[in-house]
Amino acid sequence: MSKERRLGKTPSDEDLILQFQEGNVYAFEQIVNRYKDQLVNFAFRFLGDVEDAEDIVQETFLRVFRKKKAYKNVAKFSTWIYTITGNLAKTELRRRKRRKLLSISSLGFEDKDFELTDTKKGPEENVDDLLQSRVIQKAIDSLPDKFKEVIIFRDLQELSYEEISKIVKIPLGTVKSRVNRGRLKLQEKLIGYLKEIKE
Amino acid sequence: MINCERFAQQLSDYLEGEVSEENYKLLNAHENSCNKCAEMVINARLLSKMLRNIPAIKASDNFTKNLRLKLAAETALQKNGAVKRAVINVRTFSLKPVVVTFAAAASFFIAFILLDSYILDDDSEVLMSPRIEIPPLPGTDQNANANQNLFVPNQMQVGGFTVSDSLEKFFQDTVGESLMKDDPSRAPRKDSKR
Repeated sequence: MSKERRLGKTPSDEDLILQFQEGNVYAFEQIVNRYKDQLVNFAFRFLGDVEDAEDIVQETFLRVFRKKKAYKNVAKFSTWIYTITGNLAKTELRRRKRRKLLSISSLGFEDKDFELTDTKKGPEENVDDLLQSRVIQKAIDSLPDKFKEVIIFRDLQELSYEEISKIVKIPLGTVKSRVNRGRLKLQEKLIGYLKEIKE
Repeated sequence: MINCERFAQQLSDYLEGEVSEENYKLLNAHENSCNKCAEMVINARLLSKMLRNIPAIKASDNFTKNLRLKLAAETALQKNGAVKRAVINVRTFSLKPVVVTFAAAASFFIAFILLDSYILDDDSEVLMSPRIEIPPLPGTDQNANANQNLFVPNQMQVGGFTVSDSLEKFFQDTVGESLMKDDPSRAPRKDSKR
């Protein structure tokens, strides 16, 4: 039992998964409550679709439930769960690309992404915020996957370079290089919008 | 000396303060002397702010409820799967006697064919292996049996049975002493090879 738990403080993620491994289902519910929003946000930024993002995150939690014993207390729990979600999101993107190649006549992915479907999904009440959010999301979507994932992890989820390195399984230097190149590419894509804002 | 390409390569490190003091001075000097790179720094800072200010998407209100339903469905499926496996096991088990009977019948059939080809030659005579002959029943034709025995050389009687010569040595070497010592007529033949 960790020091925090003995002192009655908020249990760490690692404490919770350990308790869940020992059969405490309430600990699993706490993990879900702690991670559902940030994972849905991450998956949404990766996929550009709220429903798909929720499906991916639900599947993530189902896998955590099924494979709870697979987690070993050598890595941070957040690294483990982000890796699962990231892999599922990448698989979904590959599936979409195949589907898009097979059916060019159907509604395009980009068109679908920016349908104004459900504004209640996020706190985007202001029209300017909504527009800005969608413009940036479109630019993120257009990045190559390897830049997209590190930009989302670093600039939206605000993870450390070290944690990103562990999740994506690439060296620290490569993470930094990709983040830098990804940001420069985003700048190129948003140069017109940035100019408008400055004016 | 820092050029625009090297400045761009180190832009994130420069903005996040991840460069050495000496390198920082070089990058800063380049920023102050190059309008293009100075503009790039302004855009990078603005973009960083925009990215951090993007409203976070939250899970829907019924996210946890849906997850619970999926978990319940999966648990039910697992239980159902366990029941199905148990039924399959029972069925497999109930099929086992049939399979065993069939296998036994097949084994007997193969064994019969092999033994048949082993014992009988082309003339259907006993040549390859010794055969114990059943003594005649009381009241039957002794001569017929005697005539039959003429075809089997070097016979001897053991326990009421007539055995061929090849078995004689076997009995002498193994059980002969105990079986034959009480009956002089059953004593080992002197001319038999030891």
